[in-house]
Formats: sequence, C-alpha cells, structure tokens
Amino acid sequence: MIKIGCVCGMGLGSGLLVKMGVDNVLKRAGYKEGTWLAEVLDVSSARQVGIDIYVTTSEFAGGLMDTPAEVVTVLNLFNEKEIEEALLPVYKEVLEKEE
Amino acid sequence: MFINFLKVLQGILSNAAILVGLISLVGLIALKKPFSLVLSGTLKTIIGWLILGAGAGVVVGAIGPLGNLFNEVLGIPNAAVPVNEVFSANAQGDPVLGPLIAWTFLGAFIVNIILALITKWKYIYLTGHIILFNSVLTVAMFSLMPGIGNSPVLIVVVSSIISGLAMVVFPAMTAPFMKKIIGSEDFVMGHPGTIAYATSGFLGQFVGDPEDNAEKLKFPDWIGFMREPLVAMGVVSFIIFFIVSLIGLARGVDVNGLLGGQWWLQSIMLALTFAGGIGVILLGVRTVLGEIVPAFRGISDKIVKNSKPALDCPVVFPYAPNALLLGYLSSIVGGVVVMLLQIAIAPALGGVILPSMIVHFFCGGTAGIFGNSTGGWKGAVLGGFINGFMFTMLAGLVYTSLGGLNPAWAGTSFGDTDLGFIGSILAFITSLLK
Repeated sequence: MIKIGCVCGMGLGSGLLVKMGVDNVLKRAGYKEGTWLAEVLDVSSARQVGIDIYVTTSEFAGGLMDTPAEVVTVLNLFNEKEIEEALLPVYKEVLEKEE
Repeated sequence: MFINFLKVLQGILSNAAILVGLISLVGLIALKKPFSLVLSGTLKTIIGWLILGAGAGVVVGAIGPLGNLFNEVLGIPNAAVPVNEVFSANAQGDPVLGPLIAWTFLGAFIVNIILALITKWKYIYLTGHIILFNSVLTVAMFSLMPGIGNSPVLIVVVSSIISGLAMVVFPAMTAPFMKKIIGSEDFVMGHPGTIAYATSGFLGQFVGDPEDNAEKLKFPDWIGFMREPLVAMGVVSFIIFFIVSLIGLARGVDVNGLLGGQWWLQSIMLALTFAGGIGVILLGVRTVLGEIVPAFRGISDKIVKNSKPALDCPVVFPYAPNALLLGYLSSIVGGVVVMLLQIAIAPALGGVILPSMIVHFFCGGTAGIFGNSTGGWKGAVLGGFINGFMFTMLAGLVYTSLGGLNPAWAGTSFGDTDLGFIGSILAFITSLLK
C-alpha cells in the first residue's frame, strides 16, 4: 500500500482538501480503492516513517525535503487538475519501485 | 421493552460522540460507500471526538499554572490564550453542551445548504473545524442568554441559523479580494478572520501599491521554525512563562510552588505540554472531520448546482508566502499593543489576551496576503497589524462573557475576528437582557 501524506499547517482544513483531491485523482486514474492511503498530517508531525509521497504547498515543503519520501508541491490546493499533473507521474514511479 | 427502547434512543441522542458518529454514518451511506468504509468511517468519527476530550485535559493541566502565575505575580485574574481548538474541546466534553453542539454542527450544514439554494450566495463552507467552532461558540453564548438558554431546542435552532449565516455571509465578503489574490473565481475564503481580511484588503489601497509586492523581498532562512504553528506556540508560551516567572522571583513570589517544580524547567515543560495538548486536539478534530467533510461536500454537490466552495485560509498561502510572514509578524505586534492596553486599563477591556501564535499565523498571515493584494508589502504589514489588534480586542470581550460558563475552562477562549465579532455581539445582547 502506498501512503500519501497530505500536509498543511495544522492538518485540518487544507490538508483535507488535498486528501479529497488525491483520492479523487487516483480513483479517476483507475487505481483500485484501498491500494493507497491518503492521510492528513500537520507540518510538525508530518516527518514520520512509512510515508511514500507528501503532497503539500511550497510553504510547508521545505521541512520535508530531506525525508526519503517523494515531495509533490501544488500551488492551488483545490485544483484537482494540478494535483493530477503533479502526483500521477510520481505515483507511478513509486508504484514501480515497490513492485 | 418499549421503555427500554426509548431509553436507548434518548441515550444515543444525548451522547455527543455517538451523534457525530451517526452524522458521519448517514453521510457515508448517502454517498453509497462500501460497508467496510461506512463502518470504519463511523467509528473513526466517534474515536476522534473522544480524542478531543483527552487533548483538552492535557492543555488544561498546562494552562492552569499559567493562570495562577498571572494572578499571583501580576494581579491579573483573567489572562487567557485564545485557542479555538482548546475551548471547543472543553465544551464538547460537557454532558449538557456537547450534544447541543453536535446537533448544531448538523444544523449549520443544513442552513448553509438552504441559504446556498435560495440566495445568490452559492457558497458551500468546506472548512469543517470552523463549522465546529462556530457551533461551539453560538451554543455556549446562547446557553447564557435569558429566554433562550433554558430551552435546548431553541439553542440549537438559533445557533444553527447564526452559524449557517456566518458560513455564507463571511465568505461572500472575501470574494472581490480572492479574485485579485488567486487570479480566478474558483473559490472564496472560508475562514473566520474575514473581518480583518476584508478590512486589510480595503485599507491596503490607501497605504501602498500592489506593484511593491511583498514577494519581491527576501527573508532569512532561520525564521522557518516560526512557520510551524505548534512549535511557535510552544516557544512563545515558554517566553511568557519565563518572563512572568522572573518578575515573580524579583517580587519574592513562590514561583517554584506555583509551577510545581523548578521554575525554569517547569516553564519549558508546561509550555511544551500546552503545545502537545493542542497537537492531541488537532488529531481529534482531524479524525472527526476526515469522514464528515467529504460527505458534506458530496451531498451539497448533488443538491446545490453551480455552488462555490469556501475554503480554509492556507489555500492562499502559496500565492504570497512573504506577505504571509509579514502579516504574521505584524499581527503579533498588533496583538501585543492591545495586550499591554488591556493590562494598563484592566478590566475596562475585558480579559487580558496573551499572544496565540495559531491565530497570529493563520489569520495574521492571511490578512497580510489580503493587504498585499491591494497595497503591496506595506498593505501586508498593515493587514497583519489590523488582525492582531482586532482579534485581541474582541477576544478580550468574549473571554469575559464566556468565563461564567465553567470555571474549569478558564485560561482560553475564542480568537479569530469573526468568532470574536459574533461572540461580542451575542454577549452584548445577553447583557442587555439581564
């Protein structure tokens, strides 16, 4: 299972927007529900083991860059097209590495 | 048998945790989620609600000594750090208010959908934790109001209406500025600092030029830790503990006794426990909302065509990170100015409001971004200052009136300007009726 951390300042509102976007994008791309887990995290506790991909904004990406996970940044958190373009290539890569 | 059934029903309907679980359950079923997700989603919502109470306990344990310290050392009995999360977590655990809050939470959703259907404001409020804070604030305030406070049904009805109205009227106020900031009309702001945001967006044009954009400035890297609200909250709380302890020592107060150990060590421990408790509460809120907000979004999308979402404030952060930082810092300045004023002429301005980094970061930063959109970096600085000034002033008024609710909840209250605005008005009406 691929774990995706959706990071924002407090892990409340905007992280959840990202999670909804990520879930929709992956579902639309034809991945089977349950093969990934998108979790909402706050910036202070986001650096944890087991996360494969972080999706966040440039504001919070800085503190995650030195983790082994891939970091995907988006400008408009609500824009699913942007999430799709940024996330899907990275997701495919991580998926291949895992298999 | 029948009596037992009634008892069961009454038990369910008056248990806040079960109630929010049911709201989640209905939402998940309405969205035709598979059985396993319905089950886990419902249980997670209930678990989240219970986590909230645990976090509230941790925070109260750290905030109590701070209140004692202010009282014994400075003679200020009503000092508070306004953190919406903490007050809400306290109130949600209350056996009387808890269920009313859960009902209002649901009622506010419904009022929002109705307003989006019948008015020109087609906004759907997707910032779940703010809906929760609105519900807590209105329920707490109306429970104190003569004529309404003794009827649970009436409290829920009026609280739902006020919360629901706030969920479309405030976002509508941000629409003209949002177009400037994000360059499109995709969404509006659904975060309760609107009064400060709109004021700074409006005043920005008089102090500067959007061409002098804050994004052209360069900031040092070390300031990065301030971008983590929890860490900043801990650091600033420590500074407050430390300074007041020093004053106390100089005046011969038994600071070690008040803090329960060596004062300098306890200052660090209590400040970080405070931040840690907020972290636990955040986990609780996150777990409650993780299922409810997507369900609300799914349902409202089906009912209200061509609706527009009102979103949490960090959605504008990437558009102007420097303005965010400027607004954040100048908001602290504005807040400290009012705090000193509150101390100087206490108790004329209500409670003494200590710096809450969460409100300064999110609301101050966003006010900075609004100010920057019309007045460049000067607008950003002014916007942050306005936010710090306004919310600290309003929070002082709200704190005094909520203080009567439960002495165990002392030391915290609501922060953000819109919450302070609604709270102060309701407190004023209550004082007229008494």
